Amino acid sequence: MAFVKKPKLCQNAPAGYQQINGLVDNLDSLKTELELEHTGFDTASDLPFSTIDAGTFAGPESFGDSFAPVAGVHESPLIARGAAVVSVITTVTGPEAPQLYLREGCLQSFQVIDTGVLFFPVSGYARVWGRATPYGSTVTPPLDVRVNPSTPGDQFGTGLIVRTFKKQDNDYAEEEMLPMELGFYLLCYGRR
Amino acid sequence: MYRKPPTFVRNDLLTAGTYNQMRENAAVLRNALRFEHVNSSGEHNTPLIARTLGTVLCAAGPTYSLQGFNADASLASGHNPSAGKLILTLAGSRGYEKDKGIIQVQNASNNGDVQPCLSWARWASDDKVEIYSNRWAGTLGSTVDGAWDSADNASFFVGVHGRRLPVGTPNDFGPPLQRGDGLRAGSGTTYANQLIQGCADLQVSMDVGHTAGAHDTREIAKYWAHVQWDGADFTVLDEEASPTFDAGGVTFSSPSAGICIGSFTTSLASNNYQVFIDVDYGRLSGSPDDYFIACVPEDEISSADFTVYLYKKFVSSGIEYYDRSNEVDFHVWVFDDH
Repeated sequence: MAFVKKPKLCQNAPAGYQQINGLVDNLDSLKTELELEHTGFDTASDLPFSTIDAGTFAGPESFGDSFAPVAGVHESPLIARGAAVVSVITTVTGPEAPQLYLREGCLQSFQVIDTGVLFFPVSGYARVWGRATPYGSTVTPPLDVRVNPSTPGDQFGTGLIVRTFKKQDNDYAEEEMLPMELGFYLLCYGRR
Repeated sequence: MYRKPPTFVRNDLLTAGTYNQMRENAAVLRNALRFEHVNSSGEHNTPLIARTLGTVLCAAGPTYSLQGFNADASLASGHNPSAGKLILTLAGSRGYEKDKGIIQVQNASNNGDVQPCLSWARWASDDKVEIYSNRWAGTLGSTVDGAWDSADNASFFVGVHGRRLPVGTPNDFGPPLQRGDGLRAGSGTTYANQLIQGCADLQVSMDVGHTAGAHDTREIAKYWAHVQWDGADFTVLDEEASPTFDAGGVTFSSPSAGICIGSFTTSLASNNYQVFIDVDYGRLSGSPDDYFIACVPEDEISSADFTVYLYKKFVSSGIEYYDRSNEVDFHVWVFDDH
């Protein structure tokens, strides 16, 4: 039922039952709309509302699946479930030292599983997929970062496998870490 | 907790308990909305959703213009400081912070139909992002060594994500009724009017970026598909379309190797939409170790369809070169403004 704003009540005018039903229906209509592409109220817990109600809520950085399902979280395969800004600090001879500048939603950690290959485990989804954009250098073009989904039956389980590449002579070597101060922006999508 | 009261009939008494349940229902909905939306404006408010998204159009010269972005993005002064480099300025106090937000870039160079093109991005400061483009200056299919060091003045599809903004003052639903309070006189009437107005304001917030609950803002994809090369043509393995996606759906076909055309079921109102590609790997025909680059030339974006060019890396006698090939899966996202 579409939302129809009810007329305001007047002093001494009876609050008719239709008025009350209208208000009830309005709220239920809004609930239905919210639940279409946001986590609903039957399966999700309430929030620590006091922080939000203060009006200054702007974080924390890591919500999403680090909480139990929360009513109001976006719930659609069309909207990212997780995001990460990954810095890959390495030198020609030095060790790889990837770091997460930002982790949000289902992307909370990663493992280095091979040279230039990172695995981001994701739980709570039947399947996931992702997209990455390389960042960093002002002069050395990084090759596109490749994001492949990993499924429950694969060696590392459900998650994203991200392969980075670096320039070598005039070409690019596969599965090598990027040059110093390069990294990538990563978005993860999924179906529950 | 949200509990819908039973339907009232004539002469039913509205008790304080029932009234207060309606008030609590409103608060539950308000708090859910506030979790990933700005309360006062209804704007989406999570690092997982772009705060601004659109197309950077590059014409001869080069001259640049923006299409589809909201007021958060503008071309910086000296936005083209060197070949292949573009700078966007972002609005202040909108949650943008250097290295703390996602930048999505899809290369849309008009050279992408003949040569693989790369793009990448970085935060220069809290209010500036730099976007770069580069093309492979070799001949497709030729084993003569090509070079990647050709800065390319290009169009881009760009999305920039910010951090969460303060959510603003919560909607006021008035105080709860006490036992014996009525709605017919005095403070009871005022309270009830506050609840009615608060619910109306909440609906106004919900209507921003949503139509009947379905997202209808450019910053959220209207369509996604996992597209597979099955050896004969491209087929859809999985897909999702928003109820608000005017095109309805997309079909994919390949007129020749390395070219995939995405055709809308119903033409969109204009070519003001954005396409992002993530190359997966060859599940059927190709090898998981194959390396591909996808380009979506802006000048091949029309209201009826778009074209994706897929380039595969080959190695011959130590020389790397590229050629068009279909032997790969990819994910595609389409962003439109309604």
